[in-house]
Amino acid sequence: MNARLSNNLSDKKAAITVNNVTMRYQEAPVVQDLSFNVEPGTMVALVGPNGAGKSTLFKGMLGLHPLVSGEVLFNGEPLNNVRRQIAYLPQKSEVNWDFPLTVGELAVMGRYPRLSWFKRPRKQDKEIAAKALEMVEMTEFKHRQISELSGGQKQRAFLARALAQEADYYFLDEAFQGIDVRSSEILWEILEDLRAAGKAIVIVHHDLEAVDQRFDQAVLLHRKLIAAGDPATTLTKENLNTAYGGPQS
Amino acid sequence: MYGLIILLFAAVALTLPGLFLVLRNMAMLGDALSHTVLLGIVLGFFIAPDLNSPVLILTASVFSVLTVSLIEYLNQKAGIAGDASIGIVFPFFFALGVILLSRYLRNVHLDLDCVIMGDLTFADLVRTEIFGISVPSSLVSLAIVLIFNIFLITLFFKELKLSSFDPLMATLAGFHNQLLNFGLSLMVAVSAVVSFEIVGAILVIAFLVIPASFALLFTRSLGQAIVYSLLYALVTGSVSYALSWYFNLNAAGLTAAIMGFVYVLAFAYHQYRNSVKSDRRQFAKPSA
Repeated sequence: MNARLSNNLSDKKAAITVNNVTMRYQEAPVVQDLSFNVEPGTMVALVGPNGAGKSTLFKGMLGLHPLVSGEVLFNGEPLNNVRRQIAYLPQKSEVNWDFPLTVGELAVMGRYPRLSWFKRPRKQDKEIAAKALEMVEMTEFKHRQISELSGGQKQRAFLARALAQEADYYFLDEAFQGIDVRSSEILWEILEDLRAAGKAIVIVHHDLEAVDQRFDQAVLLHRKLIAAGDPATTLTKENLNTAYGGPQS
Repeated sequence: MYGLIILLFAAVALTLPGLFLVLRNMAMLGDALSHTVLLGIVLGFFIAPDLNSPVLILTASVFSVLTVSLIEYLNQKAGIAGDASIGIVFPFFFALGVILLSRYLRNVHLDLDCVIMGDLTFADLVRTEIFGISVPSSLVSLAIVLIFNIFLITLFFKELKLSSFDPLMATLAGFHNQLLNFGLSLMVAVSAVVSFEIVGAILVIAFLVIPASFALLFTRSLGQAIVYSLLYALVTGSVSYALSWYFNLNAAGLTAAIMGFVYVLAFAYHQYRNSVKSDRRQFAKPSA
């Protein structure tokens, strides 16, 4: 079914449950009483205006920002049991692009969560990383320092890191912003393969147009959950007006 | 002759953790630590009145941990942004150290000039016997710290690399970022304590920050950055030492000055090269 993804991803189905999550940022509530489910083998878009709490929720789900109340479960288990199974693609603005790191080293970094303290990546890890670079068509750039890439190549390099991790859960923050057509195609193809393999994929997304074509589910939020479910029934004009503060119909 | 070896040992011992400090945007913390350890040293001196006592390293380490904790606490709980909390903690501790030093320890060979500029010339007067050979005590303590630093950075290389580049992923992967911060700060603090009596606080900061900044101008991988920064520290250290001997100048001061000067030259070259590169790119565009 997936020609590209010929590696040893586990068959484990990945599901995420978000239960009544409330989060604060310096006392002000940012996310309030939010619940939704991510089924195995689905791609979910987190959608909402700037300041809606998308990125905060994202960090809360990954345990990088504390929850005031509520819980996030991965296949029924708390984050601590699965944290090494979560791959994460950061927002472009959060990456230190001047760090002395080559594309090849970035891909190998994807293996780090699978190694315990002190353990160095072995030959096998480097092979898996090399394969991941091949899948995103970045092999020829592996000796480049990460700032010497175009926007699309940068995202592909980070996707290679995520693939090398062979994770069950994939979190992408604005991965499709400002990238070229070819890179976008590669990203989608691989994400679709991961979906077909039963992985759970959560993407903070802001291009509303592509959501109903590409995603299985949309979660529309503005502090509170406005709607969640099938993109076509979630992103209705009325719901979008509620979220983005447009004219009430 | 021992002076040069001592200088180079301090150079390597400080450059290694310094690279990670710079990569983690914690260079100012190195500045703070190299000063607040003075309070630890002075208080330690009240307990064990001997400048070569390991008690001093212990009390200084305690103060380095206290410094880092207090800075983090002010950052997170009091809502004081970034560097400002460093600016609160470091003068306070350093000033307490200076007051105690000038009030109670006037007769001790730990005067303010020495704290700031170091005392490389007299470093080989205090000696210890090792395997029947008489070597300067400071060389022995520096060698121990140097070996420790190399060992720790090799051991935690993967963790330091990941958490310096992507602290979120490091935390997610279970490599606790804060823990690594503390470890690195402790390494910097101990290296600073052992070095600063000899080379002075100014050169301690210079070795922590400048070789790393120099290397980062020209490198594309972390391994390369380590090699470049060490070479830079060793070469500028040796040349400065020779010049200071020839012109009879303070070795630590001259080294820090030459390091800064070479960095400025390197930076200018770096900017020039980049502008040539981008010119070429612009000319190449129409034909592409």
